[in-house]
Amino acid sequence: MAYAGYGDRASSLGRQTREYGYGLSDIQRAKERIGRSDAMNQFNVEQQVGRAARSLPGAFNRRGMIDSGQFKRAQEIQAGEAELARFGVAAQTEEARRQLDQQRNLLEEQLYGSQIEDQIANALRRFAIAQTVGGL
Amino acid sequence: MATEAERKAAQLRGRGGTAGGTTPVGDTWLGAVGRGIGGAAHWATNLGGWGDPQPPSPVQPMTPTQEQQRRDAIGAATSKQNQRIQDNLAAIAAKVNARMPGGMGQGPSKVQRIGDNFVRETPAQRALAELQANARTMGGLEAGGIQQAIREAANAQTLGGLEGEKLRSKPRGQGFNALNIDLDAILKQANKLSADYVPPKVIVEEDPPKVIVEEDPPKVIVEEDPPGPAPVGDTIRSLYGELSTRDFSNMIRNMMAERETNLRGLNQQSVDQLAASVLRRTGQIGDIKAALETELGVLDADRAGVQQGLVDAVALRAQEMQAGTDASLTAAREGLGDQVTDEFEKVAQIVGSQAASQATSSQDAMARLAQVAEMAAAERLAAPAQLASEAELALGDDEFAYTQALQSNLTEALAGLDAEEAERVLGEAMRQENFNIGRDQRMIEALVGDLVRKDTQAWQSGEAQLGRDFQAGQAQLGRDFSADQAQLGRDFSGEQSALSRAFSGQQSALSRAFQTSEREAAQTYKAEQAEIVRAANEDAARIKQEAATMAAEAEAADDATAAEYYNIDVALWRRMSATERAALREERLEQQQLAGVGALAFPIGTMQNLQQKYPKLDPDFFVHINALMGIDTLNPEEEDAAKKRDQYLEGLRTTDAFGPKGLSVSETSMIDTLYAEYARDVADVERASRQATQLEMSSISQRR
Repeated sequence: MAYAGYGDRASSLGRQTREYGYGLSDIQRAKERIGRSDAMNQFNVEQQVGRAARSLPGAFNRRGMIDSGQFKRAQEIQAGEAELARFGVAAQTEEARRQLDQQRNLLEEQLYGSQIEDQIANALRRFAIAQTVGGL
Repeated sequence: MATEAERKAAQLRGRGGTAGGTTPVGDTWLGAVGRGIGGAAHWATNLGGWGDPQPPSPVQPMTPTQEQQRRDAIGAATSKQNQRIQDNLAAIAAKVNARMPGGMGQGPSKVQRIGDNFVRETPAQRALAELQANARTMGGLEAGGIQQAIREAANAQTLGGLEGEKLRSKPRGQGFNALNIDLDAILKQANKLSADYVPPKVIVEEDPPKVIVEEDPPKVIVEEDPPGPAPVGDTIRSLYGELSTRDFSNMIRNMMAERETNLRGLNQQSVDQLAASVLRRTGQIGDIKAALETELGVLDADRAGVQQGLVDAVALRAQEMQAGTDASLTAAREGLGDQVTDEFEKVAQIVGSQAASQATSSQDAMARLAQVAEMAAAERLAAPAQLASEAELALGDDEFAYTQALQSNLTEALAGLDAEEAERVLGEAMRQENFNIGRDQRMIEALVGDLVRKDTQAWQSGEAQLGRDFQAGQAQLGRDFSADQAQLGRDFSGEQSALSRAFSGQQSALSRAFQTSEREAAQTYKAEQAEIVRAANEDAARIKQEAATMAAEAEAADDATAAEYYNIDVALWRRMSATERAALREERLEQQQLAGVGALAFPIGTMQNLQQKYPKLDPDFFVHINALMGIDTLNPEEEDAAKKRDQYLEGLRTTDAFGPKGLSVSETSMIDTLYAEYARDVADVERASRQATQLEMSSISQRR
């Protein structure tokens, strides 16, 4: 095993801390951006759903079909499309957040893995000293 | 024999005086005893012709042979008795000296006299000498024993069997016969015994040498060499025999055994130290392992907590998304009321299933990531045990190597000890052998030295004898020579006196004759000298007259003749005044007087004659002519001489670094011509001289 010495390990600790911090910052910024995008997309979907819902009775009224069964069916289709649009926004946001969670998990794994390897390298150095008979 | 007894008595006196030193005992009566014995022995050996001049006993006249046998027998008996007395005296002297402070054998210097040398005694030699002294003496005499020995010495029967001896009533002093022996009585008794003596029959046997005297009882006299001092060779062997060396072999073996024990102890100490070191290292490895496990456990727990929090957050968000989707569908249904178709329900079913699927997918993804993280963590957490195991393995190998090295060193050291022990024991044996060889060698050298010393002494003794003989002969020759010399001197003086007288007479006569002849010769010499002076004056006057005549004739003839006569130019003669001509004439007359005229001129064959012939020439020419004559003298070969003459003349013409010589060819030719003339004159003169000599010799021969 090629474990680093103390000098290499010191620089490695700095690098790991830096990468961990920058990684957390990137993840946090991405989360905030996803939150804003999610809010904007939900707002747009709700605006489109509201405008469609307000325009539908007028269209059927002009045709004289507001009291027909078609108007009821049209409302059911419009409600289904609205739910699809809302799920689409939620699913997109959830997918983006899952990617960020994976990156966060990887970042944590790298940080603790490096620290543990440093500890092992330090112990190995001491093992190398202790595995010889000294004083004879 | 009597002389030998006296010598030994004298030795006893000397030893007593030397050993006793200031003690009056050894120097007075004891020495007197020796002297008395010696004197008695001397008397005893001269009984036949000693004492009163009494005639031999007419009762039993003895033949000369019987007389001689009687004397020999008495002498032998006396010698034997004297020897016994001397032994007793020596014993007495030894005892007395031993009891005297500072005496021989009691001082700090334990020396023994061997021959003419004193050597230091060893303890063994001293013990042996003491035993021999006790055996030879009378068994440790005390004061009574000494007195008894003295009485024996003074007893008349011990002095050659003489009887009737009695002590003198009046002592004779401290010198001879200090024991107051009545010598007159001894003399009478001796004479009586001599008269009554019947000589025993004496048989002499030569092999072994002994003399048997037939008497009652028969007595055998064996001629033995007197006991002398111990040989130096025995002393040397005894001294060197005491030298020995110690054997260190057992000490070497014991030391080697101790070294082996020490080596094993040191090896055991090293093994124990190695075990302690290994134990300490093992503890250190365990400590490192435990510390690493603790550190890794803490870090892994942190990691697991963080990742679990992340998984929980994802699960919560998935549940919230699914719950929101369900709530939205519920709200939409409530808004639609009674639905106339299934358009909405189909969409609601798809949306609900999709939301549930996405939530499950998110949670499964985080679960897989957590599982992978756990696998990596398990791998890392196994590292401490693996590293500790490897370290303990390496430590065991190191321990094994050290153990092997210690065992190997111990084995090699023990093997080296065995070899070293064998080598040192062998060296010890060789050292002892060398010591013995050296001791024997030194003993041999000492023995050889003793032999050389003895030989040297013998040679020196012979040399001294030869020297004495030579000196005696030389002295005799000197005396003879002196006598002859004196006689010859007397004869020579007589002859010399006669010759002197004759010589004086002849000398006087000759002196008178010489004085007479000398006076006559002086008178004759004076007359001849006066005649010679007169003749010389006459010759000078005649030469001057003849020269004046020749000058006058030449001047009277003409100027040319006069100029030729004076060897000057005619014009110069003519310009000369009368005074100058007179001066020239006077000079010419003086030259004529010096050179001679006629029979008085310089003879032919001389350089002056040649110069006279050619007065106008440069005087240097004659120097060169003389040099050419010198070349002839130095070079007997005419050819070589001629060549060197030519070289000389050529040299006169050459010009060298110092400038030209200034002679021309004509001048050198003139020098050569003059040389030829001069050489011819010389040869003529020599030839004439030889002819005259031969003529004279032949004339003398004819006259004879």
